Amino acid sequence: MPDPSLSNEIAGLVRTHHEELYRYAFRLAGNQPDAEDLVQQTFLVAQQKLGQVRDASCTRSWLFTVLRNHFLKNLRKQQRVVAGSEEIEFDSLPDTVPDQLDIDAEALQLALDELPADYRAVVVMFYFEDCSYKEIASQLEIAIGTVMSRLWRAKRHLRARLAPLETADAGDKPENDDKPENNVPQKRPIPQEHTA
Amino acid sequence: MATPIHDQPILSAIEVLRTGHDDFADPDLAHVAQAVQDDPSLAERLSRIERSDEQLAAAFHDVDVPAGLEDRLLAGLATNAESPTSADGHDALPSVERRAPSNRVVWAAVATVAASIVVAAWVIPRDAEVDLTKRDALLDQAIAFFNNDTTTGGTAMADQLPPSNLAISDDVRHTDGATWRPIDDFLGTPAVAYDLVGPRGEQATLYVTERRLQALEMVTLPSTKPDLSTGGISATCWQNDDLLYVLVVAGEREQYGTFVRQPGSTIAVRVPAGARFAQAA
Repeated sequence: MPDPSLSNEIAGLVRTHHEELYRYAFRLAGNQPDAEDLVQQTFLVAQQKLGQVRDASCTRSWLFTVLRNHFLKNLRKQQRVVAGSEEIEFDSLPDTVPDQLDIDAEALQLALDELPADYRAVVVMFYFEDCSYKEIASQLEIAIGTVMSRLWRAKRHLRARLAPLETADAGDKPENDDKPENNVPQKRPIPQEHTA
Repeated sequence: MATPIHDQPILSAIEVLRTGHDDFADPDLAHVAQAVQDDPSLAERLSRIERSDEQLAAAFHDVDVPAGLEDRLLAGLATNAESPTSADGHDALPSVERRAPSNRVVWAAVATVAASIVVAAWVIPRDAEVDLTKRDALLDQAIAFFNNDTTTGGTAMADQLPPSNLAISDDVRHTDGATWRPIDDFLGTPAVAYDLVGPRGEQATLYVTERRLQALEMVTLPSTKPDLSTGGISATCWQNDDLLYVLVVAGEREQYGTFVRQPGSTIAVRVPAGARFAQAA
């Protein structure tokens, strides 16, 4: 039961949004402690500034914005470099689009963690918040062309990391292959060193 | 035979199209719509991108939420709302034991007019008596200054904010009742001292001075554990741009920890309504 010192409004805000905010924070931060920190930060700001949100329908979007800004600000403060982010040669990534992706939560997060933070923010906004490229550009205060480029590269990276090990090309299918095990896509092993 | 897709602007542009949205209605994407209409291989590619996007979008939301998160969040907010006392003795958030710069809340609330300690600015070692480029030496000097400073009084933050160039750190959350005092000479340079009291009565002072130390280049946040603890006093320091922050807490490591690691973690500076910054020092 919420503490009586808390307003019904803020308690309701937590109840309604904390799960989604946590999931969003986790995709950005990559680990539980940091994700919880981000969510707590967000609600503490909300506790102070919720009155500034004029339109209640914008509350969710506002919370996501606050959280994302904290994430980016914290990264700049910590001067953290995502492991491997400087090693991704985006231009060398395969340009094919698999028919199907082989996704599990851990593999997705590993792939996300490999992206530079600015790329990660773009792709998380795209997939999680369903933001348009113009909304992303506006929120992050970057050029539209930059959004397009980062989104393209980030998605290529995710698809490359999450594609089945043996991906059939479009229109090509194995013939007379009745063995079930041969039809099970194998996960592409995560290389120890990221070369592309 | 389909013409290979070599137009990178088009390839990047179709990636921004969202499944379930009429993004082609965007006049800025009209050329993309036309290209997709004209090129069957591009249309096929777009179709596959949309399928993978659907998979990825679902996967992005596939995150387990830790048990008890809502309760911890509410507990942190309750502590923030009530300020000093909290019946709950444990952190609202899992503690993350790391010394590396990380996001932490430093809680401060001035309960009463305590014997405020004014600390002056921090000094770059010009005479080489003490090697202040080393963090331990720096903190040792700060603790000594803290112990010897008997200055009292201070200006309430609600009445007037300190000089803007020596504002309290963004990493310190304080109430309107926090006090500050200008220091003409903190080991050689001007500073502002912020007198703080933790939720359990811990006494602390945060010194802010314009100083840059190479040794702290990567230390941009306060630590949850003191960098130095000696003689019943604990301290840490961090750097942001040209400002050096030195936090000294009257107490051993445990008191430092309860002062710094409060439920809820965030970093916010609340400016009292109507307050104005004083002229820069």
